[in-house]
Amino acid sequence: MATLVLKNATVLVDGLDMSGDCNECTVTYSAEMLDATTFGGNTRKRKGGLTTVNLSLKGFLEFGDGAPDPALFASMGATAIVTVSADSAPSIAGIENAFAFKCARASINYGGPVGTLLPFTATFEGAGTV
Amino acid sequence: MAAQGLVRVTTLRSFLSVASAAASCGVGTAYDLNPASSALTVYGGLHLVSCAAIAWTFKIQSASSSGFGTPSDRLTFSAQSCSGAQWATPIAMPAAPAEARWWRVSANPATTSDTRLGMVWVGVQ
Repeated sequence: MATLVLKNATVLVDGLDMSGDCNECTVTYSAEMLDATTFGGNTRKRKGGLTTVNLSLKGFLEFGDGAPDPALFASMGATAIVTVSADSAPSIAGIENAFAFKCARASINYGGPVGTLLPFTATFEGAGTV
Repeated sequence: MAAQGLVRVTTLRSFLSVASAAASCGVGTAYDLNPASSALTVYGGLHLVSCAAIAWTFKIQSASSSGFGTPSDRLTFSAQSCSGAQWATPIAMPAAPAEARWWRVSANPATTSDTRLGMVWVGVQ
């Protein structure tokens, strides 16, 4: 499959379509690196531990019914189902181009420099094995 | 693969725009996921982003061929009328993965004139 220009990503947080509010979306999937180094070697030895999932969204904030702010503010800390897709269209030829996970709403940051469109940053962290 | 915290998924049906919502009733396009083995878990998710009084029931079905002559209901979501999301209880891939090669969404509103916005996905890992 060819490389993809990221311009039509889909971001769904429970019943909220945030695709039109976000201009940046990052999913981080990682394993904790555990130090298994012992005497006798010259190099750190690591083993993969528990995995973690994080989602960071950035965009322009809007207030009012149907906008992200009321929903994200009211449910801080609550669990959610999040699906992010690299493309707004349905799957082409059954290719996996999206990720989904259960998460907890971790944070939302409001505000930015004078003269800019009011930005927000929202983060979500994995809520365990799905 | 042991269950993890993140699932790679395939969008089976995306009806997030008003233009596509009217076509969301009935069965959707079939996709060939061609599972490599039976030692896999099947996940399914539903997002509805619009709300109305009429409840919809979504199912994820599979079949051995794209014609879906004998569809099997694999994942069923609870009837839902308001916006929100559901994560279906994961199931094991059928013992004969060829029986579950093609996958699609079946959407059934209580009233066929209703339209809804949302997305349904399936993940196999």
